Amino acid sequence: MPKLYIFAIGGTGSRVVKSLTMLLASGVKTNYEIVPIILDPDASAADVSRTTRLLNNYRIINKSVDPNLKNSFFSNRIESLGDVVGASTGESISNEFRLNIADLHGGSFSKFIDYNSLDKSNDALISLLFSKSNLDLSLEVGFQGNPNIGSVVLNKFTESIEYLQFVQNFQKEDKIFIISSIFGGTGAAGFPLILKNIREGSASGHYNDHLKNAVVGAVTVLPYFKLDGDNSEAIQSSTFISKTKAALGYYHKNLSGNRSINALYYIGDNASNNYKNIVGGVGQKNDAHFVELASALAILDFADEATLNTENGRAVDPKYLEFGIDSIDLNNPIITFNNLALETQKRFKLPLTQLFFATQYLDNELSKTKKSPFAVEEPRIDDNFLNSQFYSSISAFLKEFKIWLAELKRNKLSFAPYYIVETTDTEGNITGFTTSDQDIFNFVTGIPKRQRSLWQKFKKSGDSYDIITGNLNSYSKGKNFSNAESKFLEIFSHATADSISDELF
Amino acid sequence: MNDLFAALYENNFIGFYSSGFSEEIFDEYLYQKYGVTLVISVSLLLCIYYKIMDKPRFAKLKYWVSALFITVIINFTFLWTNSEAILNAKGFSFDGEYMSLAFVNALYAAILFFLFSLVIKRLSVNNSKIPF
Repeated sequence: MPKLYIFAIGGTGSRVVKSLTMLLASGVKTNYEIVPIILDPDASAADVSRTTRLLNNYRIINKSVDPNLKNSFFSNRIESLGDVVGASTGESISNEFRLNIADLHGGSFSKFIDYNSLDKSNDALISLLFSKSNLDLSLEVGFQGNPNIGSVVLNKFTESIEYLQFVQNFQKEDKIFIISSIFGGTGAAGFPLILKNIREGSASGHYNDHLKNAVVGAVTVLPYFKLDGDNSEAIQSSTFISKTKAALGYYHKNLSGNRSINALYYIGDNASNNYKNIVGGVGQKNDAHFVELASALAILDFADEATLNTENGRAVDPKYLEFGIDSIDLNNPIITFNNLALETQKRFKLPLTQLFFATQYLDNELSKTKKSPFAVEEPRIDDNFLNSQFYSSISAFLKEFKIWLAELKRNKLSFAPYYIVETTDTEGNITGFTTSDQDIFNFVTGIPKRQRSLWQKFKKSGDSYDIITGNLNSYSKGKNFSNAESKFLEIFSHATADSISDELF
Repeated sequence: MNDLFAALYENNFIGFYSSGFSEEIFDEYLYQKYGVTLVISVSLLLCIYYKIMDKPRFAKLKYWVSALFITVIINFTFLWTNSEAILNAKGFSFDGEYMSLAFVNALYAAILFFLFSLVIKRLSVNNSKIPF
């Protein structure tokens, strides 16, 4: 299967990959194996570690299931660059989703460029390009909104063994997508740099014509949040717009102007929310945002796009796209499925709702239905299965899924497709959500349950969770499954789809 | 068919035989009547449980036991009241025999309900693991 390499740069890159992973977990499919490559100098950033943890759980789940399994939760393969290289060459490189940048082991920027050993003329040039605070900047927590520093440091990545392996393993039918924000330091610096290197098609003297002529897409996320704090902060959101304008001018000349990119997606919001101003590290943990979900949809759109082409390193008929919703009440700016365009709804309304209902079922009902036919028939979904590493990975993943949904709801702009009440810890971090005890088919915002005739009511399995249990029993009856893991994902995927089709849409 | 059911109802293990009473039951073709009623009622109750009540909320042993209990009561009551009415109308006077044969009928209803369950449950989607 061809691969879609996704370079996710900086915190926004990680959070967009998180949204994409949630969509793929819900059963949204692409015709590509997804290979996320997270580039963030801040190894301890909470957003990066949350996303890598999520990807690792996804990989465990996906590898346990039958590769022929289609239209089911977690069926789209996600692999690390190390997996891809190991499978094709047998060589062993890092199996992590986040790649290290060579020579970046903390310390200041001046140390990174070995400023003290520069000769007089280079010293003068560097002093012209970088201020003293730039030179003293600690790189341990990223580039703190300084793309001029980011472009120097990230250049090191293209000299790494991982980038060389990427260049050597890239195939003709593979695609590349780059995620970055335009208003910060890491993403704004990394995007043009990576694109430039891709179009050169080489690394460490190895040339790959397929890479030079690769179909490359990108989403550049425009300002969609503000930061607390004043002029004393290292990163000030008051500079976001001016930085964006400068970067757009640069992109116009050097990316779209020379047709380096095949499809460029612009996504942003009017930044009505304020995040805590925490510069990198474990504290930098921003709530999931609808803009990140929309950016993940851009990746799916790009994966489906079959008309893009590149000749001699230049995009043929490149596309520049924006994302919009269908409508919104400005007095109560909350997005539900009904506010999305039909094409967007078609893309993920059903699968996301399937995973939502599956999560609810596993949390609230599975312990009561362990003796049902779907669980008792071989291969069994019994206590051994529920204590397996596979199921603990599912549980860990779905816990993050719940947090992700609750964060999307709490954020501004709020995306609230379900009636949930977010739960928080003492520090205000989202820990999940709760729902009411009523029929679960009343949980989808703005979509009422189908009205039934008396005969239809008599015929159906019951209400709420009983409908899903009935469909689990019905789908699994008489079928053969290769293993319990595949069975689990397949029956829950189909049963939730059938239940939603019966009761909602 | 009357002979077949008579052999069933009058066997030495769990059957009941009382000279006079059993002969009258046989002569009136009542063994056939109660045997057919037994098979039909058990099948009907099982169809109701395994097909019409084929929903997750009924996939519990208590509902199966309820259906079994209803089947037993129906067969016990029907045999007792019906046989007593018919033989009384013919001028016969028996005492505890009606209840004894009704017990045998109830016992057969329970056994048949259990045995048929093992087959019919396979047709059910949600109740196929009941009683086990």
